[in-house]
Amino acid sequence: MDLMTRIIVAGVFACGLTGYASAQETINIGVVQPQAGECAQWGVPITRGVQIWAEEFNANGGIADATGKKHQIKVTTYDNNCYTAGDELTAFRRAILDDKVNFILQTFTPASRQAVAQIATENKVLTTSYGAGYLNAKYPFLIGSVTGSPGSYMFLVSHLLETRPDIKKVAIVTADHSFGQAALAYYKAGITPYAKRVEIVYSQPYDPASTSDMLGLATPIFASSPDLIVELGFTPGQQALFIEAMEQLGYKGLYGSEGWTMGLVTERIPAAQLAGRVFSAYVVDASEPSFSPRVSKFYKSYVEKYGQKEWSVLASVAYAAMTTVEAGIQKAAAPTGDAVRQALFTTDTVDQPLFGKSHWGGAEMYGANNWLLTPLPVYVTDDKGGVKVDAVVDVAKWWNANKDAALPVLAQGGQVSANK
Amino acid sequence: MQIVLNCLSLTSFYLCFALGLALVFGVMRIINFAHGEFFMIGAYVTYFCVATLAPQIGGPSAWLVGAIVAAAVTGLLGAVLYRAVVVPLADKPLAIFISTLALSYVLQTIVVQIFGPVGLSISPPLRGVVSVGGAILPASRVMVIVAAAALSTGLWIYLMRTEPGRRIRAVAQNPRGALLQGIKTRNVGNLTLIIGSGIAGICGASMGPISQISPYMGGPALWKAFIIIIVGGIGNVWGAVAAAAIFGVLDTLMSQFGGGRFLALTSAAIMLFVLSVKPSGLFGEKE
Repeated sequence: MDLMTRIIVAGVFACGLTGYASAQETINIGVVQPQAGECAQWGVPITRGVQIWAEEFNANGGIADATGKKHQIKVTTYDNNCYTAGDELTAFRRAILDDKVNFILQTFTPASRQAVAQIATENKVLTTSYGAGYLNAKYPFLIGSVTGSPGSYMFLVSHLLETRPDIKKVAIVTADHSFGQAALAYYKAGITPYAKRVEIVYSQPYDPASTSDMLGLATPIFASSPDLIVELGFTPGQQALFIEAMEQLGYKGLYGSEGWTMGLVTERIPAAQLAGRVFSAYVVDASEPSFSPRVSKFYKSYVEKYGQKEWSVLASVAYAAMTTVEAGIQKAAAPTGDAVRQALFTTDTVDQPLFGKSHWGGAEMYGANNWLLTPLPVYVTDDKGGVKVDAVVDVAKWWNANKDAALPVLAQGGQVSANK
Repeated sequence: MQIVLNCLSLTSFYLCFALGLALVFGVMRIINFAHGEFFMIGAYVTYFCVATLAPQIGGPSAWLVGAIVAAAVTGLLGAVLYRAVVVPLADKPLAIFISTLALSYVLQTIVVQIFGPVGLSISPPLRGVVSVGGAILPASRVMVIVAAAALSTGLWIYLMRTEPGRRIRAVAQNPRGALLQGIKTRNVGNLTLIIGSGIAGICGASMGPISQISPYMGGPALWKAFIIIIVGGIGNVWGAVAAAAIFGVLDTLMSQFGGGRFLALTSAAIMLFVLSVKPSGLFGEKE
């Protein structure tokens, strides 16, 4: 082969490589979560959930769009300093303007979502969360890709009241911060349809700093004699201490929250004592094997990689949220924020990879029909400290039946932005 | 009755943590920002000891070993801090403050790398509850009350009845005068930092079973301890005891009667008020 032929062959080969690289266009996904500090115990498992979701595709050559082209997924993390709205915006600027991400997974915390709505929309970066939190018709690139927070609080408490008519008194224990206030409003909204037979006996928000003295926090709650306590705002370890304090005071009722780290709880209280009394519902709990083989496999990957002690239900919540984005990418002609958004909203429902057919939740809450109501598995603890599915709530059906009662309560709690 | 027991319990929490900080601040007039991380390391050392030794020697014994090792490790850290930071930066309190702040981040990061960022839990060495007049007090909280009482009493005896204690008091009252009397102030400073840091370690061991342990647990505890020693009188150990009791009662009553969300606000407001009307603190002496 003479020199000229070699140059031509090398040039053709190089062009081929370039074309291959183009077909393998990488999808950049940003995860904006606390990576250090106290809140990292939430942010790190969430980040890992997204990373494992991406690794599953990357190991098989990438995720295919509607044209059949496969794309590798690159996940980049950004710290938001414990869900602080200002830091959320700073992280978004870096992700969008410097790193050119196509999609971002962020918190549902309303203040944080509101802070980034404009920059995400202006740059057509599809920004999702494990819930809704804040959505607005002006910002179509903000979506809630699973039922998640804070809606799940409403559906959890209503499910318990619906299926357990002996519950007459409910205590709501929430922290005095943005997502604690959202949880308080959603818990109250979930109780409202049953207001004739159910009384809210405690709903004082607490200062997160006061959780160092769990007995002091638990004493007035116990004194209000609830049949059901629903909480939001404790860290996993604090949840265990709270249950321990309530049990020591003699409480015999039920507990509900978005999730419980039962390993920490059962270090303090025998699992048999709590069997059938501790309920959770967030999005999906991958540690429960029967709901979905795919999330069960994800759970095994997580535990294999990080260890059982590092497991948090939040990992599966983030994983599930990304599967809605995945459904959009697979229906879109190109993996851009704009194309994926359009693909997701072509019909009133989404064939969600984990939950099946799921309805967009309507515009009554936020003035934007951007919240996907995925069916919600409610879990209850068993006598070994594990969880089993108590029921799968058809949240779209519940919402259609009860939204007239729930909406005014949510509006009073500052959670309705449809007319703003 | 439950409220009274809760007051007692919370007072012991505050006292346990503020004691070591008040001692170091009072004698050496330096702000050890890493004190919270010494507390955290005490809890993690205890966690490690309980996790590894409890199956062989039982929970209570493993916890006791953990508490001793925690005191030794944090005492050693105090000695290293003295040699590496306090001595070279003597007479530069701002530099010491910044250095200990940096040290606190270093220690946090080391613990995150070893144990991970997710909070852990120490199995309570003592289970069950003590009933008093219809109210309850968990056994693990009784343990903290005993630890706080023992530390306070022990420290009092040490300071008031022993020769090294007298030297520490002399340096706290007048460092230059103590030096002129032949007291080796450097040795006293070293000893004080070892004792103060060791107390933080024991406090971490005692508080660990009744609170979540995490690499970041030192920060909030340090904030409250600063408020207590400022309100009690900067450098006055007995003022810290009194202020711990004041905040123990106040915070318990506020949580009980629906003011729980204003705890941080109230504590900060009280500190500001005391600083503005009596800068030396409620029980402090004018310098």
